[in-house]
Amino acid sequence: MVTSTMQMIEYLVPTGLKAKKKVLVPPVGTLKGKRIAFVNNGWTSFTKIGGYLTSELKDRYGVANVPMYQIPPSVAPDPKLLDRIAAESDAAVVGLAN
Amino acid sequence: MSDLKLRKIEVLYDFRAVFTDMYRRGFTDGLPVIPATETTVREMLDYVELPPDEVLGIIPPDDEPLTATQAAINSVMAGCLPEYFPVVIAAVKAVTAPEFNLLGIQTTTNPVAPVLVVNGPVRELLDMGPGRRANATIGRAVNLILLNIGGNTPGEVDKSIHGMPGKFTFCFGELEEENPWEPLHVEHGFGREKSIVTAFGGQGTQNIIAAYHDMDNVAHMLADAMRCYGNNTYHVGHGNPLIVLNPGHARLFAEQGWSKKRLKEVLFERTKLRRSYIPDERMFLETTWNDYAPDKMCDLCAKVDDINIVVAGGPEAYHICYIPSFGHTALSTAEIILPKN
Repeated sequence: MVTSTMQMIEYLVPTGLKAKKKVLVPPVGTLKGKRIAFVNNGWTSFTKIGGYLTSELKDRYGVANVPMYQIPPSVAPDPKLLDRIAAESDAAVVGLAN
Repeated sequence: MSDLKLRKIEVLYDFRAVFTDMYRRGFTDGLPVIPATETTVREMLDYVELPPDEVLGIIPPDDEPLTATQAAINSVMAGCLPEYFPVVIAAVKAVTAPEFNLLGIQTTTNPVAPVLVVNGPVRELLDMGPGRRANATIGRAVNLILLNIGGNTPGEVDKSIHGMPGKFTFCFGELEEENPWEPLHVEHGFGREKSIVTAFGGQGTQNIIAAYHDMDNVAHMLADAMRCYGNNTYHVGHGNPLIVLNPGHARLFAEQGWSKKRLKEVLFERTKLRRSYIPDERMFLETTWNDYAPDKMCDLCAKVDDINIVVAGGPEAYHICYIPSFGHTALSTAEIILPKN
């Protein structure tokens, strides 16, 4: 319990101001007929898992197209590529499978 | 003081209460910190004569702008004196340079952290050395900034599988006075009189006890320790492996006619590995050698000069420290701007 005779201290908050607004991706709704992209950053394990998921998405959910985009591992991809993926897809999933 | 635009939290004036509160809020690296106050932050800012709102860099993965005020708060928390603040600012500039790939370093599964090497007159000014406050707190300030501004919470955003002690702090000055060759910053184009910080994306330390009189044998043993195809530089074909020679070995190399360049060339050649030495099975991540023919050689890194050699540590000529590189990174340098007075 803090009483009026106890000495207090104010310390300064060290975190950022969180000025950048997070952009929420709108939900795609039904998957039927949609283009769902996979973004693979160099894990060949994802190439395998991604292939399995592609079949599932097409066969079970009627997804029209599942393009796979390669990006370099451990570095930020070219923003132009991200813009292209966004333009060509209804949704994109970054795959690791590691 | 209103121009600092500070956010404050009031707690009981008790060291344990303050630390517990800051820890609970995720503001610390797990170790006790010094609570920053308006007075101590103002001392930092006054020392470097920077406007409180000046943006020193954008810190990924949250891509938050780091203001001078936020840098000062984290530096106070780390235990820095105001005289250390110019080094912290330069280190932030170095680690936020695109070639350093801070985003990858902050978020990878690898055990990687900034390794800060300080050169120039500032080392003496700050009394840098083993167990010294400057070494410990400058490196820690940078890592607190990466945590509190960049948002790389361990285990959540920082996905490093084992972590690495250097994620707390990893900063030292080169012993230029004991280096028979060019010190690191001169090798990279700066005047000897300049104070420079160089950031490496390092993956811990490997000790090599090379107690030989013939420096060719020392180089051979060092190359053997570096020739580890599990290191990331072999996987990606890039990066800056860093060798910390003790002054004794450095002197003996020079006395036996070795230049730094020759030592790098010998290490680059002797760290080559034949593809057939590595298992045939394809790794489940892309790696340089996956499609190599059995006789093709795998390199430690892209080229000879990507290997960096500095001199530091005690004088005895037997321990060598090897710091493997993350690979997806290139060293980055920044000048330390000291106040005029």
